[in-house]
Amino acid sequence: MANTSVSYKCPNCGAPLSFQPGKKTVTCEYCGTEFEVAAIEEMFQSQNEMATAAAEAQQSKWDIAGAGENWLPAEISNLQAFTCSSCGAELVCDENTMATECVYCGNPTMIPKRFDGKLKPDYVIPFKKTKADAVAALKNFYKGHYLLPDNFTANNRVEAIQPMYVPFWLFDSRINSQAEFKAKKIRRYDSGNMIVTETKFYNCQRVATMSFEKIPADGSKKMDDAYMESIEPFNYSELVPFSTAYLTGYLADKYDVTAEECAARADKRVENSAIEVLKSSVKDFNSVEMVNSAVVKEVGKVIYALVPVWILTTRYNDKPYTFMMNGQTGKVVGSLPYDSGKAFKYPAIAALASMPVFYILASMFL
Amino acid sequence: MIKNICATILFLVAMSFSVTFASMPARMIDAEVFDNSQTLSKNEIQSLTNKIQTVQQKHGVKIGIEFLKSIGNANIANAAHELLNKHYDGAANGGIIFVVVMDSRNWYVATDSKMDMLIPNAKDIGNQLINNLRDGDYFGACEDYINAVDKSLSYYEQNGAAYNSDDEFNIMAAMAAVILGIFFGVMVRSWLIGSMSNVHHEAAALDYLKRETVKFIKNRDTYLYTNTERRVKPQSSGGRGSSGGGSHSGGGGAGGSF
Repeated sequence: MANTSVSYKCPNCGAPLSFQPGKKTVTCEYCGTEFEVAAIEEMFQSQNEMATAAAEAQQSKWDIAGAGENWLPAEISNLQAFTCSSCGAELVCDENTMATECVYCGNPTMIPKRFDGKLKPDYVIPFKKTKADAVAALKNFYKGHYLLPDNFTANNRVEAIQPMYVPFWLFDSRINSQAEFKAKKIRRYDSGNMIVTETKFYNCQRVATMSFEKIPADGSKKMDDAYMESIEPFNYSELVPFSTAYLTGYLADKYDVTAEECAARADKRVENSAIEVLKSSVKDFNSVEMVNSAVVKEVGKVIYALVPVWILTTRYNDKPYTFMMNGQTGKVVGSLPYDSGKAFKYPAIAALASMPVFYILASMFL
Repeated sequence: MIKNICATILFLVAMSFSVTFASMPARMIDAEVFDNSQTLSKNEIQSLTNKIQTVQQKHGVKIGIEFLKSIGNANIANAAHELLNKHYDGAANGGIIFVVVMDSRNWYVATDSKMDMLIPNAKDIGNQLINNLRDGDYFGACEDYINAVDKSLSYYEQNGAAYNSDDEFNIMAAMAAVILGIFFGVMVRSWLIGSMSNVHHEAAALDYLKRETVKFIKNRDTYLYTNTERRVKPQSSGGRGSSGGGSHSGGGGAGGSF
């Protein structure tokens, strides 16, 4: 049976190849041979084509009726089987997996069918941060959180660390924005035994054009949008044309949320930013309040890119905690558990310590 | 001719002095209460005098009250210290005077250097009489003044240190401090809990704005109208004064409007 997946193996020693974060080449960890990305691409192009054809053939024969009775048809449609080109084991992955690792032999494996035609990303930001960087960053992330339970760090063990290329849509847009603001200038002065407050009202109109470049919106249902927006920003100067070589040794998903579906999020952010820019130009007033606004998109362009994310999972009191790290910048995001005792104790100390200060201040006025 | 002119000038000068003195009622030497504004009745003056004399004897001090119709453009602090030095000097433990000027509605409590040791914060005395003064109860304000002086002097004699209202427990301030402290604690708690997560939706995309592309086509501010509000200034209760002139060097005082 033809292989439906491709293992990127070193032509020199046959060991699995993986892209080393921070390097511009693909390196064999065993014999140390380094390969240019373009060379790897060329080397495995024919294998990719064959694997694609094999997957198509297999897909056409996909028989959901033959699947186990307990699976629902919807679940079956989401799962597909590929064979590991290294050990021959069956790789079961969801419909979006582009790159994975064989659970039996650990071989990095590509599913070329998933980056065919329009599904092929335009760009990729290669991983710069290693697994060790991710673990160190997570430990560093724990610091300075006063409510963190003591045994969370003491008994903490990272359950899983996965490097993953997450599909993102990057939106370029040129907009025409206009807004109307009500602004106040307040002047207070003494007149005899009276205090006079004079408030002057103004109508401020602003119209401006501006461009935004590569506003990111993740195209993966699996990934929480809030997490993905929290690991921003990305340094786009390191964006490179997509090559499967960057995916070796990492997990990668193709998008399952279309650009059209993501566009509303990007548009909202553009609108908010445009209004902020317009508002910041209303200067020398004591208060500024927006009355109405309109943002019209003149030009919009979208590109499809993969961005690097480390996913770290830990467990505390039988509850999983997921943290994510921007694989390019090292920014860690996540939600930590807090100790209820500390959440009462520290504020109580702060309240008690502040009371004498408030007493002295209040004595001056009462 | 020259003789006539000189005589006329002397006559006018003599007349002006006589008019000035005529407008001031004759005051008894060392009277404890003096009122040329006719604010207090005779009975009230007598009652206050009796009370002052009792306190004076008890503490070995001189206490005065002066209600004046006007002091012109003179400074009330200087005027009060001048009166204190002139009429309430010589007591073993010092002197204190409460001056009220009726046309400008100002008041002042002045102490000499000895009294300033016993009552260093004349503002405390003022705080105790200001409410009655504002309500137009001038007799009540004078009684408050005498009582406050008596209380402060007794406190000094018992404790060997001057009375300071700031040292007293302020129940209102304590309640306010408890409420503010709890509010502060709640704020700290919410901040601490909030700091446990840095996951949030991004509302804007300013990181991706190409600043050089921002071009304003319209940038117009149009004046619409003006609203004007007027309110009466809050009356100040005054603050501690310091001796400003040679006539009352070493003393203290506090005053304000009512």
